[in-house]
Amino acid sequence: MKELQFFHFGLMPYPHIPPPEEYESTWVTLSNKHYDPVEGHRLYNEYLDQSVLAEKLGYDGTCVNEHHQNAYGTMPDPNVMASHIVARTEKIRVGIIGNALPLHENPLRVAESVAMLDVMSGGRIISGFVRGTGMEYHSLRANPAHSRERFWEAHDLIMKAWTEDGPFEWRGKHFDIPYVNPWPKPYQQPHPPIWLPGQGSMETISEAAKRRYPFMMVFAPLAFTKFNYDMYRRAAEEEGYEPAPEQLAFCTGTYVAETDEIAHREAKEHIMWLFHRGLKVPDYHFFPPGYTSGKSLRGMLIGKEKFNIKDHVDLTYEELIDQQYVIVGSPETVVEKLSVYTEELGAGILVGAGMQVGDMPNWKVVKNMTLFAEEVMPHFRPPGNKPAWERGVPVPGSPESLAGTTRLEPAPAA
Amino acid sequence: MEPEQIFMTLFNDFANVGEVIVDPNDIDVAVHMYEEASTVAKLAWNPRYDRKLPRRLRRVSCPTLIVGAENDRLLGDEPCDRYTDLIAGATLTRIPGTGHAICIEQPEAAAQAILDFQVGVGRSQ
Repeated sequence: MKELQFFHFGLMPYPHIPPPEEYESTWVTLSNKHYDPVEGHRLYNEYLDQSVLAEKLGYDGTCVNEHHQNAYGTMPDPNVMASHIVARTEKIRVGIIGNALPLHENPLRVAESVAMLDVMSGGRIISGFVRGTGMEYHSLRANPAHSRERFWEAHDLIMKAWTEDGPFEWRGKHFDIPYVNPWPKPYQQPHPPIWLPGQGSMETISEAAKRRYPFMMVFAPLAFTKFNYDMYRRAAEEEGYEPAPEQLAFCTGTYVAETDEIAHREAKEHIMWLFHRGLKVPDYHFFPPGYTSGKSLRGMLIGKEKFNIKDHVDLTYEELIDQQYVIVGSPETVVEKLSVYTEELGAGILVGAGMQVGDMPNWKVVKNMTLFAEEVMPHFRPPGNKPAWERGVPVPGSPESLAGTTRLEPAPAA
Repeated sequence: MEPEQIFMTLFNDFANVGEVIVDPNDIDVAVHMYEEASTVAKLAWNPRYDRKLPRRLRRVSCPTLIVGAENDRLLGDEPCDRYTDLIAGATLTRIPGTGHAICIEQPEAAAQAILDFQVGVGRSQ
């Protein structure tokens, strides 16, 4: 059995919202009058306890992310959440997947916050960078037509700020900063590992492959994940290497119980909350103008037809299970389904292992996380079922983790 | 606003609406419309207004006709009045029966208003 790393991930939703037929979108326009801060306090602390529990149960990492003005995930600032988790844990890796770079007026704030977290945690941070969903561009009014350009310029600026001594001057198209000189610099050298979660645009995939950044598919059916991994492989091939499993991640919610029957019974309603309510987003919120290129949009529309990909809100529970948007079942079933990803797709990272979804109550989350850790993980780990951070396995995306990457041709002479 | 609502808001007179109806399920059409909207976003996503516009409109010195709708339910009728106030000597003609899509709803009347204006300007020079 090939190895798989397991990252816990909770979206931290706010589940108490009206039935979906009563509003347009769970994002952007759903009134925050439905948010009760006292209940929010209870939920945050329950969710954060789950993230801390991930370390005790031996997960390889736990993740947070950034979304704005919605009930799907209430983490507008992922670094605040990461800071809390860092303070309450000792060893577990903390993935911020990720900071939405184009939404920031000044990307140095991201360079600073992530470096602070990396220093405070003694080098436990994984730094994901994302553009943010289309919805974020309505909520924060950043210009979607500049999103990709701003993303890569912010990325280049942060990487330079982390790896070169300051002060230096940055004169870019979008950012003009006379003194780039952040204190602190990151703990991990040369910088925290970078991950790129994506929705399957070829620009992101080829840029990720070029830089050897782990690429993550989010809530996609198995067939579409395979299609995108193949695209990553082809892009890697053009760069002259074969990707390691640690470069291919998939974010797929899992639920494990004693039997298939119990698992479906316990998980179904919460999974349906995620797809039919959390992800109730009209296209015009999802794809603001300029967010993607005409070429990418064409590719996505053709792909949608070819793979018969439905909008999240139109998927039935049976389709979610059959197409593996989610994995639900007894430990045997879950092991069998996950091994398709490791054996056939060559993936090495599962994000969303044992995840809380929708309105799933704490007892189910803890049960799911525990069963997953004890009954599923051992099948993808060496004897002893120890997490990567106890075995000294390098963090995916770090230079050490890529050392084993197969070169397809000799390096050009220096 | 949802796309269907936008259409309902653009037009007061639906007689000619067929001329601009396209099939958004056609991938070529969808991509073309998206690319057009992307260009608009580059220009006007943020900010959605121009605080310097009044100052700039005062600099207009040529004869000016403002062609407005009778009842523009997308932008309201105020912008036409404001343009007319700010541009010295500007005249405002509202095309009867129209909404925001003036040139599609009443193409002849809109064209005639412009022609009349041109003739008037020609005579006065």
